[in-house]
Amino acid sequence: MSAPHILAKDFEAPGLGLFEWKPLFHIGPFAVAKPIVLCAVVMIVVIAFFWAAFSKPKLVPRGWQNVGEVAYMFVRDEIGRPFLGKDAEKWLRLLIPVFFFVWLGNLMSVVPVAQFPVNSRIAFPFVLAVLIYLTFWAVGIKHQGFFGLLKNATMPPDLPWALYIIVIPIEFVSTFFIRPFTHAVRLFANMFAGHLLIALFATVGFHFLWEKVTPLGFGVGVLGAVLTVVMTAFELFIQAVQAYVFTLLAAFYISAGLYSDH
Amino acid sequence: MTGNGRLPDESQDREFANAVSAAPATILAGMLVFGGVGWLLARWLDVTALLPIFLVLGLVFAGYLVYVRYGR
Repeated sequence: MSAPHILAKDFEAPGLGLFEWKPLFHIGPFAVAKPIVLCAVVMIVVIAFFWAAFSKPKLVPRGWQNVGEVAYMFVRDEIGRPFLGKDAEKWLRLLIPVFFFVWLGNLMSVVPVAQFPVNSRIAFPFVLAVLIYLTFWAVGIKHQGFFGLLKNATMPPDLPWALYIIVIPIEFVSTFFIRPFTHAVRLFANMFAGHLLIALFATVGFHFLWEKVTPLGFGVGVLGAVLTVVMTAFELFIQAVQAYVFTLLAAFYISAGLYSDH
Repeated sequence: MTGNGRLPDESQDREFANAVSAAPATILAGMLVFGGVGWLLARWLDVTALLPIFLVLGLVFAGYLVYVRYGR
């Protein structure tokens, strides 16, 4: 056996078990586990924050309203307006809760005690993606008609007609079937992988600096501990970026329903 | 569209959204559609190699489609 083998003999890497939670309690037939509790906490925080900020708005903002207006303007200017133009304001009541739900849900990964990104369980991003997908269908049929929506989504302009025979099935499958999956999976996979990485480095640090200290393993343990801190900082960045990308794509899909490409 | 500044079609954000969303979805769809045809042909003609060949064709064609729609 080589040195790394001996060193890592008792080390057990964290796996899928990190994402499986035993039910804490039951409400009727529904088992409630930690991710759902965190999801509820995030919802309450988002509602409470915007309630505190905007329930009694003043012309000159103070306190929570100041923060609320910055949050509102960020989503409006960076996500809403580039895609929805003058219709952006109307759609903010969907985009703002989606952005802050996703972001705070991701942020739960680094909150002590919580320490679990809500969106690393695919059900949560998938429900959001399906909500956006249904909204895309509803506004698409309303603004372009059923066949108009199909035509605009599957027939990009300025292609030689012979290509359409191949392009139409590809664009059809891509727009109407794959989109909600890529939308949800992008967020899910990022949160899943990030959580797993942090857990792995933290376990390495704990194992080699605490559980089984050896002269040879000490360096590995220090490396694990340092990387845990580095990856946590990197995760903070990724969490915000993924919330931004998820909401940006939501605005993009809604705009694809509202306006045709031509 | 008038009023609040930028037009939807002129923004760089739209290109970014296309790059992170439409491009991967189109490439997956290309492989799925071509792969499906390849799988059927492979079963029908009993030539196993047709499935990987069509998967690659789908990848190439979808890449071309992404280039034509979003890259130019």
